Amino acid sequence: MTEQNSRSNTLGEQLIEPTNAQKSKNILKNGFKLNLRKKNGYKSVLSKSTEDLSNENLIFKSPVNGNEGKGSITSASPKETPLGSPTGDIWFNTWPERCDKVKSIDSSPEHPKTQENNNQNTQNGVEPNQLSNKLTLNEALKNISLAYSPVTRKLHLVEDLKNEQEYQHDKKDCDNNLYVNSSPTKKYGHRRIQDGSFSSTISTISEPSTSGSLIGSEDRSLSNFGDECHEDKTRRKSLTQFFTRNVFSWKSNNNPENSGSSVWKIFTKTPSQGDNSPLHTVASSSALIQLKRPSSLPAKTFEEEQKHAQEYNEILAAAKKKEAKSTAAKEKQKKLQLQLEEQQANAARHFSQLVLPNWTRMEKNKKTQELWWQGLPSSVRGKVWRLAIGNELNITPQLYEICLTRAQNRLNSPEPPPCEYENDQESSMDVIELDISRTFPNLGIFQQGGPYSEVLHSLLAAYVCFRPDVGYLQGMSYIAAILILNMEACDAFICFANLLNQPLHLSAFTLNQTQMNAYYNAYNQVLNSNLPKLYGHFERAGLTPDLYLLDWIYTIFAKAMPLDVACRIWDIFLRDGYEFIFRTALGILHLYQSALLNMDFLHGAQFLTKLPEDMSADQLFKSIQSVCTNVGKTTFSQIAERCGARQSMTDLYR
Amino acid sequence: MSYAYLFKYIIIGDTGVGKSCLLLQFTDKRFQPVHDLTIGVEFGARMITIDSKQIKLQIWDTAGQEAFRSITRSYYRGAAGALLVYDITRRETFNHLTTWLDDARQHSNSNMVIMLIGNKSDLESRREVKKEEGEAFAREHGLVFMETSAKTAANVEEAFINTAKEIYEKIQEGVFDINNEANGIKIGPQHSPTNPSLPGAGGVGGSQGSACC
Repeated sequence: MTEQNSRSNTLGEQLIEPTNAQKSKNILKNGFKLNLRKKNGYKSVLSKSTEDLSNENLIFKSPVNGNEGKGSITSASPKETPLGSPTGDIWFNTWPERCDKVKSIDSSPEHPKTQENNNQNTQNGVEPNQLSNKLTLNEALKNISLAYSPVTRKLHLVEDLKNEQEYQHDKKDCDNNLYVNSSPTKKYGHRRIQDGSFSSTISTISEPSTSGSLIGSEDRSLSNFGDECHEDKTRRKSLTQFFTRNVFSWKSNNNPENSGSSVWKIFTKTPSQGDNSPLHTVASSSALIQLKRPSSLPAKTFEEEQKHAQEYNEILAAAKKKEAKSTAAKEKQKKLQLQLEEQQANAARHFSQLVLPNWTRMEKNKKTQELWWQGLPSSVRGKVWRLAIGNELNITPQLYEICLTRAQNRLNSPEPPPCEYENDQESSMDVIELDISRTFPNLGIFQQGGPYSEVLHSLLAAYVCFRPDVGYLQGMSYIAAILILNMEACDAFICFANLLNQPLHLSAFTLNQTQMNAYYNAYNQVLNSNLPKLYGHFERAGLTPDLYLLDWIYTIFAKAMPLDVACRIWDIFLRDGYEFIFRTALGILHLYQSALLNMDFLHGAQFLTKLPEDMSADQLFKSIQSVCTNVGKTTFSQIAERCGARQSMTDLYR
Repeated sequence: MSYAYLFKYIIIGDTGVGKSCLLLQFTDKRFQPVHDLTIGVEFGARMITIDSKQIKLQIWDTAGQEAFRSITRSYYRGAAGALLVYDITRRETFNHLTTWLDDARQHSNSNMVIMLIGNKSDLESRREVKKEEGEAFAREHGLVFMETSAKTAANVEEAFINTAKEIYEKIQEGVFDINNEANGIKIGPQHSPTNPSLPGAGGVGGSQGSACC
């Protein structure tokens, strides 16, 4: 059982092998089964969004140890359910809270325990159903798989159903860069509890099952039904895991052994599983050709029959060939995926075991640098970032608390306090609120009512109190959001403040135009030496670098690129320093050079301020590798300095 | 795509008044309830027809935060039209109009056509600025005024097109020197003065805009 758990951990919840299938089937069934009938009290605990879900369908039929249909429905007495229990309330309020709870269910203790309980009960001759009678509400709630969807911004009930007519239902939302690793063998998804209560943004990725496969279909046909049941469970588990572990993997793993195993799926694109063409139906309907004609029609001649048989065989052969090909491709993809995850796991191990404990010694290590370039594993990303950014400003958690309190007082006071300094930007605090929900709007978690909206708001407000001379400027919210996605709030604040204290970003956020012009000029020189043709084209078109660089610098590509690519840029930006921002800019231009050369001012400007959404990290990094921010032996900093940029902080403050 | 003229527009106004949403509604005919922040500047374009002439609008959508004004100032250069937008549900965005207008007048060419827009007219229940106030402000400062809703698309088309009509009329009157690109007007490639078949300005309409889109 533990083997099963760790296995599904390693492989990112998919690929449960047939040998384990039966095992997992039991685990899952036991883990999720529940006897519960909707009562008013029960309903009152659920938040509004789930309320509409809690209808008849919440009554689960409970199969006893895998024997379906045996269990009878027993109602949970409302008196025995602790109404409005405090944990129950919190439980539904915030996503992370919920995540942690489910996590604890998922990451082992729950399943074995439930099964144990069941065994005990059976031994004692107690009907297992009565056990659920005594379930406290909290236990009951724990057993319901609820998942917060950032897309619908609702809690979704992930239900276990015995019902024959199950809907295929799963979620994959490309807009959000949220990807669920779906096993190609999974056929049945989660059924909607009530059709109306689910947003249509949840699209279906359930693919036709390979149970329709022609290869070895004889062997499979019998086991199909059982498989489907198991697949259903697996899928459900996978969705739960997606919300619990994958989205905030950096939070879940303190154990270095495991840290490599969980891949941060939110930033990990899953190669789409190849489509299964409905061969099954093609093959079976084409077999009709072999049937005898109805008696009312003249019988087939021998030649005709022969011809039909041959045609049928040809179709079958073609279909088999096609399927073999797609299976091979899928196998290959699976292998690649495994390899990738293996690599990730190794890299994570390297960082967590060797680098993090000996940062100063290992930071510059060759292997470290190499792995770093390939992208930090999400489980250690936040920790590495934190160390790479450092804390030159010596900000303590206490200081963060002080700023936070001050910010809260300021936000709660109806009258803005009089400006204490001449250069006070504290009034910019009022703008923050407008911008929170406009930060990563597709992600949904920073929007009003989203789990991270408050965190982001208070971090930015605290920063305004920390640096009233700088205040809040648009663009900051993206930087803060990226940090919040990777680390705890306090760490994120420390990183944020230190990051913004570097010459480039301090110049940007204090709107020091002379400084910024110096950087733009330096960039233009480097652009000319790397991509002279494009440089000339832009010059003629009047496409000046500030038009597109501004957004890239102010948000460090967080807004311009897909989130997973942006995080990889951040990895190296934090390793190599601000020059990497300009190098990335050159890399982008290099990558799209041929297209850009054919664009006029408007199209070029539109293209660069809205980069293609399908930008691939690997291609971009290859492109970045082929450009260089040095001109001859002169480094970018030296060029910038010659252009008038001041690198020393004392100069900047003058 | 060929065009007779290209007009540069700039959209200005406080943050969150719906500048980007107006642009999106005009160029893509859709509304995004939660739009990304605009950092710096973003661009949009659309072809319109006035007096049976194809006119391309090149629209610069700017960041609204006050602190960014030092940057957005440089974008006024060469703009033929400006949409100055406020939010009818937030009075402070109306109160800031004077400073925006000062900025615009100071950094653009004097002939720039400015259209005042009170956006979010669909949110009648949350209205803080009366329509009459907008009209009065526009009259006082010699602007064209219109209330729009980027959400319902009400008046959005008209706002952009009426501005273009004003610019076009100014060209006809000879107010704009179309050969000076600093005025924010470009003559389309096939309409350039070297092409004798079509006069640059003041041309008689009805040339059927050589190539249709």
